Amino acid sequence: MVRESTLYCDVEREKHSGIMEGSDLEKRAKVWAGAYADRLISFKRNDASWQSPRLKGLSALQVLVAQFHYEVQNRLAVRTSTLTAEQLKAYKSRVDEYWSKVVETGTAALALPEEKPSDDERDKLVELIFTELQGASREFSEMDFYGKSVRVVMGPIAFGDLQLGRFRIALNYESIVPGSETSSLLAKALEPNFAWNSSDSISHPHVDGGHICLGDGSAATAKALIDGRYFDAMLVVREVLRTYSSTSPYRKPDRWTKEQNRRCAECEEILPGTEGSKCTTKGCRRLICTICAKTKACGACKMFVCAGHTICCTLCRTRTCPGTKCAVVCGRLGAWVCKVCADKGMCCNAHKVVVGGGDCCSGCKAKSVELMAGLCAQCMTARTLMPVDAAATVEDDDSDNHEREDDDND
Amino acid sequence: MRILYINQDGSSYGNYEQVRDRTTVAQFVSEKTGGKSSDNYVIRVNSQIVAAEQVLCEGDRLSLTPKKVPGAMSLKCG
Repeated sequence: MVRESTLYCDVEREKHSGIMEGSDLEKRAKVWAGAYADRLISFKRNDASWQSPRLKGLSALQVLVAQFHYEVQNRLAVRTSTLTAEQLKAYKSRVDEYWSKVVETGTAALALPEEKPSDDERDKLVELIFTELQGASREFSEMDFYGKSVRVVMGPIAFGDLQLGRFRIALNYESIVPGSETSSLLAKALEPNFAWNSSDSISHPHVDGGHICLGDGSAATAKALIDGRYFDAMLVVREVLRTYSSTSPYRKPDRWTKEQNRRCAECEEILPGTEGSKCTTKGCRRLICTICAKTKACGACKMFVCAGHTICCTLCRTRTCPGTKCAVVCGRLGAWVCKVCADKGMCCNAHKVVVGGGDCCSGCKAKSVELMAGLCAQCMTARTLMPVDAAATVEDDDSDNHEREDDDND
Repeated sequence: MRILYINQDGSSYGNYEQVRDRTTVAQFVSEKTGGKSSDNYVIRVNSQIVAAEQVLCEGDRLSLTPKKVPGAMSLKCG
């Protein structure tokens, strides 16, 4: 079997001569690719097992694309001169596969789903993709091919004190589908600093599970992908990742760590160390700082209840806890009244039954867990919706009946 | 002379534009963005990132990508 080492060594030699670094890269690469095509054909003659019907048909441009793959592969992974013909064949099949996808992508880009693009259009697209990838390889610190993806690594990201490290942007060229182009892009943190309590999913305020919320960059990215401008798409993604939009992130940077999440539920101040006390409502785990615990405590029992479990007296607007000793529900108004106002007789007299005062609804007698003024939710709603006059009439009717009964007794 | 201008700001569009000879990238960007500085953009000519002083040539393909693209501005993340 003829080994590819000679060929490979030539490639290595030329590569190290600075061919990828020079200002006239494109010109030199094309010359190189032309020479490389001759070498491939020569190589094919020497190795009968490496036959590809496509080889003869490879245009200079196709060779250029293939060569680019070799270059990327060589730069990043394989640093050996013992590449066998079988390995080369395997890699060639990958290049062929990629080429098919390039054609498919081109077909989609040209909006010709049923027809193949002309050779000229196809070559233009391939040239565009090649130059895009070439540009990307210069701009980003690392670039490689992995499976069906082109991957680049961007520099470290920081939002203030929050260090998120470097990100790898992966573009899966197989999944560029019109209508959902941006789903072909993923971002992976290389030195992940996941948001606290996010199940190691949120690695960036706009990245969850690798999926990037591109926001205002969505349209530009989709258009760039469909056009075959992969470098443009990667640039937009990079700028999205570098920019923090406070509108609706998955997680705000100032809530990234556990410490940053230990905040007073009232004033949002960070609670250092073990400072802070919990809301006294059963099951509530919200923390409050010492100052808020004192200044925003229940007006009656002075215990602290967080804003989510606080009630406000309908009459005096005092903040109280919903405890049975601190507040009652006015049966007629269906609203909370603090015990002070109730004791002063400022509301109706229908507040005799307080929250949790009975196991059975006094209206329908059904068992209910949550009772308000002794009534289940349905009865309370019906009573609240009932016009005051009608309610009074019902009560009057009841009193008439009692009088009638009394009369009968007489 | 004529160049292809691709603006990636917002919804993204590409148009052929007529430009005067010896027009630099910075002049063109300033003209197209209403006086904004070219520092606010990643500017590429023929797929290569270029300096603002570069002079445009016939048939160039210039693409403009803003340096600050807010993620999740119009699409809600969470």
